[in-house]
Amino acid sequence: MSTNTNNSNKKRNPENSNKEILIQVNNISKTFTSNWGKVQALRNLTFSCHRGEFVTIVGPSGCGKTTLLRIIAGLERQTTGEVLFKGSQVLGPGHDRAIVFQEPRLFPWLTVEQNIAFGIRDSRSKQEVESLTDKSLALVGLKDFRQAYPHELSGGMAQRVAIGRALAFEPAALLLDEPFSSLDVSTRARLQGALLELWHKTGKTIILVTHNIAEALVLSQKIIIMSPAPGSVKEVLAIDLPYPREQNSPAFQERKEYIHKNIGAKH
Amino acid sequence: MVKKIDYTIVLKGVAFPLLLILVWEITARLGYLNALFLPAPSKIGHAFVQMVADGSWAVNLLASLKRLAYGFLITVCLAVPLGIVVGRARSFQHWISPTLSFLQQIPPIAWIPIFILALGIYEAPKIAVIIYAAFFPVFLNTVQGVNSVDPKLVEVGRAYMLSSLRMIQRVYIPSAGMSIFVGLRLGLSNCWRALVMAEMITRTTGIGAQIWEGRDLMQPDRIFVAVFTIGVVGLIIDIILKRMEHRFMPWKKKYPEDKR
Repeated sequence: MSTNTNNSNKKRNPENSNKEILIQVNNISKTFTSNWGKVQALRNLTFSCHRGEFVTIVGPSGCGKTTLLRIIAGLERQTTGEVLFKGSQVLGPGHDRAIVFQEPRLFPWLTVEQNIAFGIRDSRSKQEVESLTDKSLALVGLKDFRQAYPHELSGGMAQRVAIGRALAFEPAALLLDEPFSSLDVSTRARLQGALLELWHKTGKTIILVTHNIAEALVLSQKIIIMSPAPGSVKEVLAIDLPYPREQNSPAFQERKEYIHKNIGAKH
Repeated sequence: MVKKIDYTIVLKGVAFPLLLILVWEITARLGYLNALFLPAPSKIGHAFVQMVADGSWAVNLLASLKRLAYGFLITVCLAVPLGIVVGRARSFQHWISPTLSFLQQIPPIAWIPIFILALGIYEAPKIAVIIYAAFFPVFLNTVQGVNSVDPKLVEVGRAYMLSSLRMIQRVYIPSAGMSIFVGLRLGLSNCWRALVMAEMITRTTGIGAQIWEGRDLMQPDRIFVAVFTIGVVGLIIDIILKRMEHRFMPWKKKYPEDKR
């Protein structure tokens, strides 16, 4: 598939980008077996995600959104159903996907740039590692902190390093599991802006899990609303508002209200 | 990232033993101490100069240090890889940990007669004692370090598709590094002590042998020189290892134990 780098300026229109389906989730169910018996976490989820699309999965806590993302990442196996990535089954972690966890999960003994190079240092040539690391550092805006150790970073910076580590891996899709949930409001808003900018620049496919409806509305083109116990897709909502999104606009508020009602949670 | 040395602390640390030596010297000169087992510090100093001059001090010290180096190196090569393997195979730990706890209760010196019967009186039994003395702290700390590796970091390694060997190299060893280092430090000081005991019993060469020789020849001043040498060398080894810890692990902040 051709990439549209020629018109890669700020407003990327999803209708113009190719409609190739990158990730297809087919009828996924997941049952956990514990000492207390079996618990169904996910039931019959089906949805798809196009190349270059920004998709958010929202739902109340405990609805299994993280489990779903981990299944797409290949870190967990579904009980039934299948995940297709570019048409082939996901059987484990792959070079085409990179996950960013809720916590930064940086290696305390590595500097910022070594952390960013973590996923590529053993598989790429030295020059490639260097250039990819530089590129990632620039994308997440941490060039001045490349020699710092994780304990010297703020929470927001640490999470940016984690995103940089995922980007350096050069995945087709970026999977983000509530990456901003432990940050304060202003840092969170800043990182949301940075993530959008990064998405516009790189054209990556992004799947983000969040329980914050406003965050989903600010960021994504498609919102998958999940209902809990067991988690299933309640509704898939296309958000066609232009970027950057004005949180105070009636259209934004209207959709927010709608999702709130639909999800039955208050925020 | 070497810490700054606080000279007032160093001064205090040095002043106290000097004071003790001074009191000791005075009481000895006043004739309150039995010179048979408590010679005056000045006499000990004199013996030290003599032993350096006739070469016996350096010969014995070098003999001991050489054994220490060999024995410790062998232990590290055995205990660290074994600790990593056992640390990762958790179910295996149930099999061996009672046995290890049992063996750990036996001081190395208790094995010396067996080692002598099996290996003679020269280098082999001494090195065997050193290995035995250092093995448990190094091995157990490595196992513990590997056990306590954050599974979330292991998952990052999995997400980035590290091979098992790379996972050990990139995640397990650095994670367990601190714990392994603590084990190395404990192991080395155990080695040093056990070695002196072994040398005292086998009585060939080395600082331990020198102590026993001093007893045989009724030369308490020489005994003291050897005993103090043991203490000073142990101290120096510990200081070097502490420094290395800071060198190799600059991401670690200062430890509470560094506060004096």
